[in-house]
Amino acid sequence: MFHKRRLDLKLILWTSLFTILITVLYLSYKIPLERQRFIKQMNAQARILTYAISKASVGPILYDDHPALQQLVESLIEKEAAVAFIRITLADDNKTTVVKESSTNSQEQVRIYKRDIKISSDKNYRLGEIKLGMYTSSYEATIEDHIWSLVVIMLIMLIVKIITQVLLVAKMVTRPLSQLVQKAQVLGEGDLASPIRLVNKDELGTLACALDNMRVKLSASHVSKDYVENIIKSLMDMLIVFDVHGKIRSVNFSTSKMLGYAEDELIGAQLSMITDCTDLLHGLDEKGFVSETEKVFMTKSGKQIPVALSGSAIKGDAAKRKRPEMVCIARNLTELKETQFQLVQSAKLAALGEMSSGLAHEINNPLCIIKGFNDLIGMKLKGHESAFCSDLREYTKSIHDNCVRIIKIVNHFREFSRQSHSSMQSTSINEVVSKSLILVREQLRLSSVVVKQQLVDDDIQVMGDSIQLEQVFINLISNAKDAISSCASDFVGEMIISTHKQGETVVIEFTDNGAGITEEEQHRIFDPFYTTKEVGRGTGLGLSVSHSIIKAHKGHLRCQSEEGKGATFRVELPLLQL
Amino acid sequence: MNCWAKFRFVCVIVTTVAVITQAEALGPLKITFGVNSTDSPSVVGKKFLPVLSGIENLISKKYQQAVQVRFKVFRTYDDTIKAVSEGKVDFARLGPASYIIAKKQNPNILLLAMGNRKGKKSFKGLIIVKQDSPIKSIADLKGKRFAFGNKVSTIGRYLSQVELVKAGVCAKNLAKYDYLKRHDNVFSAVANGAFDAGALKESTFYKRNKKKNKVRALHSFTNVTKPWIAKEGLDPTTFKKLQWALLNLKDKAALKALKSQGFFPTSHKDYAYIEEAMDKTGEFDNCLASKVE
Repeated sequence: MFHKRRLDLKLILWTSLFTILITVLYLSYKIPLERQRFIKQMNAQARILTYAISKASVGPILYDDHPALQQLVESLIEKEAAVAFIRITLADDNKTTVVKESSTNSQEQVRIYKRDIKISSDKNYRLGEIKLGMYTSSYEATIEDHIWSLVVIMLIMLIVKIITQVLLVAKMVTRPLSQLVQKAQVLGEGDLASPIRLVNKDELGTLACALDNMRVKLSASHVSKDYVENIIKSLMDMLIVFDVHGKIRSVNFSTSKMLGYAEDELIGAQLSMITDCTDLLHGLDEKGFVSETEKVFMTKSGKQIPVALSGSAIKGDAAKRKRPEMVCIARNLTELKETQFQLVQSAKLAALGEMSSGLAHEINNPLCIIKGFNDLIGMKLKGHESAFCSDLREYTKSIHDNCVRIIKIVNHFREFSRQSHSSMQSTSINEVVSKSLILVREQLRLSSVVVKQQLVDDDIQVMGDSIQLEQVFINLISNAKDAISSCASDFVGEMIISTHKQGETVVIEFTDNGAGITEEEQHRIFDPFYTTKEVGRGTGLGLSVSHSIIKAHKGHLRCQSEEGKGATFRVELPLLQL
Repeated sequence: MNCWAKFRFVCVIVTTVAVITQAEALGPLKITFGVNSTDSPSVVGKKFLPVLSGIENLISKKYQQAVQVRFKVFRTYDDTIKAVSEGKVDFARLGPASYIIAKKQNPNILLLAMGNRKGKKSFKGLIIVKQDSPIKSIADLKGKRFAFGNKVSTIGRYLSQVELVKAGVCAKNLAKYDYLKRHDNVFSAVANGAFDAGALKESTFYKRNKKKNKVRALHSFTNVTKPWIAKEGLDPTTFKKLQWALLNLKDKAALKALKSQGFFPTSHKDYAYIEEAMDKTGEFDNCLASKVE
């Protein structure tokens, strides 16, 4: 309270001191003046009295009328309480005192006045002398009263001045200033929205207007502290502020989340704890900024995170003894790199798809020649029944079968890779399953995966694109095979492919006894580019594309699995009613 | 300083010492002067003190004697006369009538000098009436109201009454008469119509009638200037000194204050006709049967 009211106290104190000083000076000047004035009054009264006595004495002196003089003196002393005595002395050789009269009170101080009794003509004819004694006490008392009156008046004026000043200063200065201080504090805390206004029309009002103008300009060119804090808080990237020695001063939420440290663990720690910052500090110190540098951050768990880092130096304030600091933003590149890899892989596959028709053509040509000459050999062996020829006929048949098989696979692969536009038509599910198995049979055999088919007897039809459905089934079979392969080498893998009707739905299930999928992974397996396989062994697009294809067929693709207990992928498609 | 200057300086010093020594050897002359107050004492003082101071200076210069003249004023003519006749004052100035009375009381009083009024031993007294008064002569005063001055005044009573009697007016002929004591009282009474006529001295008439011209002079008569009298038994040397001083007083300021041009030597003869006039007072008073008070 005292601190807040210092200004008006100071004003009041100093003006009061000044007023008191002026009052003291005034009284020092006035009191002697008043004293002089009263003395002059007393002197004037004495002059008048002595003059009156002088004039009145001329006749009695000339008449030698002493009783008249006596009466004159007595009457004067009776009337004038201030008169102590009157003595009239004649101007003869003996200096005869004609009258001498004293008042009863002889203790008080007396001031003596003299006047000649004379008849003025061309010369002054002196008849005698009057000596008048006047008490000063009454005048002293009057002077004292007057001085005290002055002092009291001055005190009253001082009190009134102080009271008036307190009220006026409070109203006109202190209160408006307090309001301005509050507004300035609010402004300092970053709130640029509250207007600064005062009702005063004076300099304080002008100050308020100036502050408000400043607020408006600040809000136009700057953002509020809360706004900035919100931005920093909501940054997905890491924001780190550190000093020239690499000591971390401040971090945002994303930093502590991504690195796995609590905020207070990071603040005060060295930046070298999370990354090699030598070149970073050097670059900031020399150039004042660092742009798009790839670094590796170390998390608390020891995991390395690739980041793209940019930073700039914040100038220090010599007046506030604030040293320069550095602010850096680091973007986590992990997902980006994975995405880049997936894109590269997809590009590779896309390129591969582009090459597939050419490749099929290049394979088919020599294959057809091989098949053709094989068929010629077969024809040549007709009619020859020797064991040798019989063996040759068996060999040519095997060659013929395998060529046909290769041709089917190549043609199928070419058709598969060529198919870009879906062609919805009535499609037999069992047939699609069979065709899928053709393409992956050898891989399954090499992986020692036993495939069992439990296909429905009825030829159930769906409205769909056979090639796309085949793509889906191949992907599911391939995933099952990979899941089984990830188990122990002596593990006997088994895959069951079944089809059946369920109401108006056709259900195709692919069940394996592989490693299974965790519950957490089940939520992500249909996400693009998500894969649990090693890098280079999967694009992460298979299930995502399969899911999209089935969805396009107005069906559903679901996974049911338990870690270590295999998985079942269930495809549901609307039954085509014939 | 050359020799001649030195010689003169020494002479002045020696003379001064001689005068002081002689003066101290004679001793101071202390005398008392008395006069009645025709005006206020201070006015009377202003009038006579310069003359007294002149007398002091003259005597002290001529006779190398310090002189101190004490000045006394008496309220009435009677007091003054009594003081002179009884020797309470050494010398005095009286009116002519007062001198006669004092002389009768004490025949041994001595005349020092008489006043010089414009080179003459006499001056005028006047009987006045209001400016617009129908009174044309003294005889017309019959049945009128008349204001006299002091009962012992020469002009204010004795001479004016002689004039009235000469014109056949006596006390019983007047509707009313009274003694107003002072000349200026008479003037005022006539001017404001309290009285139809009055007797006063010429100087008062001219002094009071200067601007407004309220009254006019009906009749004038001659009066002698006032005598300066010494008491019986005054030391002859002192008498001589005083007389010499009065007769040789040339101090213009002092004489101006006295409204006089100096003094003449005098004798009782100069006041004989005043005495006669005073003796004739009864003639006016014999008409007392008709006085209205």
